[in-house]
Amino acid sequence: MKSLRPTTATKFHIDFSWWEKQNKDIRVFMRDLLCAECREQLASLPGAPTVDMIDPDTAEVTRVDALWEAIQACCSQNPSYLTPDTPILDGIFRVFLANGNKPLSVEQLHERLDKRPADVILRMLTRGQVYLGIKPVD
Amino acid sequence: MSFQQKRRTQTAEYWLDEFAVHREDTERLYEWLVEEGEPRSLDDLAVRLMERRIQREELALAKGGKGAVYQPQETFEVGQRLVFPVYDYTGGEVLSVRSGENPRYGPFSVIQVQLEGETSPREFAAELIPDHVLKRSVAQLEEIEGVLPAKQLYELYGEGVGRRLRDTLQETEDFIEFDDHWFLRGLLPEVTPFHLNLAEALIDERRTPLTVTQMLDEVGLTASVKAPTWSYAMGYAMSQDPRFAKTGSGDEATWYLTSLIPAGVRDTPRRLEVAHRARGGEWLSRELLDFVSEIGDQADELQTAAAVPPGAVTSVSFFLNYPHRREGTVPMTVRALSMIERQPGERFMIAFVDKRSGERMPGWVMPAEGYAWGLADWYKQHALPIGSLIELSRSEDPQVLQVGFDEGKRRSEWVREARVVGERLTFSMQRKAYTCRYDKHQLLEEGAGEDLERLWQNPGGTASTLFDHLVGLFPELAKLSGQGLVNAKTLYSAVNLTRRSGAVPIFAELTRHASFDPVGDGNWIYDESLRKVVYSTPEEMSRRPSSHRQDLIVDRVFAYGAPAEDKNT
Repeated sequence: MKSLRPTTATKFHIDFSWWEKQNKDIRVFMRDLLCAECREQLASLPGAPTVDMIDPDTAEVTRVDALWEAIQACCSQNPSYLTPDTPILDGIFRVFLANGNKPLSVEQLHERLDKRPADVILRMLTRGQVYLGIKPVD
Repeated sequence: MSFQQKRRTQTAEYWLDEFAVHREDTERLYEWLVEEGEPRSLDDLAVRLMERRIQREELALAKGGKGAVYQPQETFEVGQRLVFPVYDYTGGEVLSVRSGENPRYGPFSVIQVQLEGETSPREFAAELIPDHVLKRSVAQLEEIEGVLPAKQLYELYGEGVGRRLRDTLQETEDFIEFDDHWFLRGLLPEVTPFHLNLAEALIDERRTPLTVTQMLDEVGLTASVKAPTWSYAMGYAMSQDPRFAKTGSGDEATWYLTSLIPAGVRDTPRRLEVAHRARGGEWLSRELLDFVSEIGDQADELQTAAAVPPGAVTSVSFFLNYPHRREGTVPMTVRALSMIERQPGERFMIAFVDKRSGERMPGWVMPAEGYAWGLADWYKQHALPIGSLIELSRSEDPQVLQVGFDEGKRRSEWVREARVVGERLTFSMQRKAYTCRYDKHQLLEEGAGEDLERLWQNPGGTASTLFDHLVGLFPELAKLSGQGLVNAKTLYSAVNLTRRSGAVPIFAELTRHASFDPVGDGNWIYDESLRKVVYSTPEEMSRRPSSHRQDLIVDRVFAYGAPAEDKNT
């Protein structure tokens, strides 16, 4: 069956299977996004540690990767995490890391990034090469 | 803390901080709309949702014994029964307790809970010290005495509830919104191209906007569908079709054909694009301020103009200037707008009714642009010149504006006639006769309009400054008076032959430039030798120390837009 062409309403996310297929470690990229304080704290923890994360609305606890939790809860709050100078595709990647990889449409990404028009973002995400595993949700 | 004594849905914290729309809510609203079978407003849906939340809580209270309300700061034991309001008051049992692991939150516990109706347990925070939204809503509950019904709660907290509900419904494909009412896509009766073509033909034939109800009488209804639902479906379908333009809202909203909307309504006519408008703070004498008020130009209305309550104004008069006469428009100031029922949207239709003959003329109001369109033929029919006094008055019907002028015995008048010679605007005196009331200073005949068109200067063009333009115009008008005088109102009228300007910017230039001097009765004289002298203080503008005139009128100046009491001191 022919796949439908993505539109600005199509939701995207980070596809972790892409990282596995590419034999790349997303944690290396995530580590680069840590603030100095979190980098220091996590440096002492070997391997891929997990921590409890408390949902801000329901107080439900989930076990998550400590790196990701640090980005969500701390580093993404830092103004330098996402600035007007952040390249657009890097910015999209950072938005997904900060929101727990909840799928977002190009229109929603456009609202959050407040940079390029939605159709330009769509073209960048669909022009062929997958960047940082950002793909339409199946 | 006992659950039976508390009603969380009675607290501001619950609705303002904790409340979120869940899938169960949209499912219940879906079912409700199926039962109702017709569209409902967002207010109705929000009240319905709040009612349901309140009922759920009451039900949980009535059942009792379900357990303690879960709050993340509390300590819990294995085997304890809990109720989770955030999961629609689902009950659960604590299976285990462990230490939490995350230095960010400080020391805390994690309880494993088996919720009713779920197959696998979930984990929740306990003994949590940092702030959390769930810690707040119960805190003040014991102070609540009475239980407010949903409608009253909606009045208190409904705005946020409505906003969140709208956001959720907009992301739910089953729901559609039109005219601030929501319905289910699947229940929408089918409006076919045939229906829309018929509607188009009806409007085209009658050449007047029609309500959906008027159209449905002709289009035909399916008996099994409620009339409001049909209206909604038809309106929704027309809103998606570029052939139709909506010209109002609510039950009385009318629809018109985009192709029939006049050019002067679709786009602001270039002659109404204001090059110079009042900003507030310009210095003017009391006499000039009175002129501004008489002229009634919407370009002199400040953005800070106070709203006028509907019904407070019964009539508004203005002197017709060239742009409005040429475009068949009238200025719609805040006062004029208060005389009609304002509809949302960029433009809406009204009817003008000739006060004397009762003739009805279709009109359009563009509130943001400050004008109404539709009087070109009426101006021509009554040969109303530039400078004639027009009165707009309120009628019984809030969608109708009466329009009239004082008709008297025909009398002759010497009038300035504008002509274009080369690239210059010149004037000569001509004898003309009029039956309407007019201001003789603003009275102008426009000569050949096509020639004036060549000189028209739009905002942002390469036009000269307003001062230079006045300096160029002044001698042409002054030569028609024995003493070389020009009335301020004549200047206003003449400037508007080639560029759109309010009276205030023109009068402010007269006031602040020493080359212009007031000599009484609204007349001004020009002194080329003072062309480069500009007065900078209100005292200088009043006393005019550089003046060479013996007949100079010294008059105090006031900041335009300043509170009225300042002018009486």
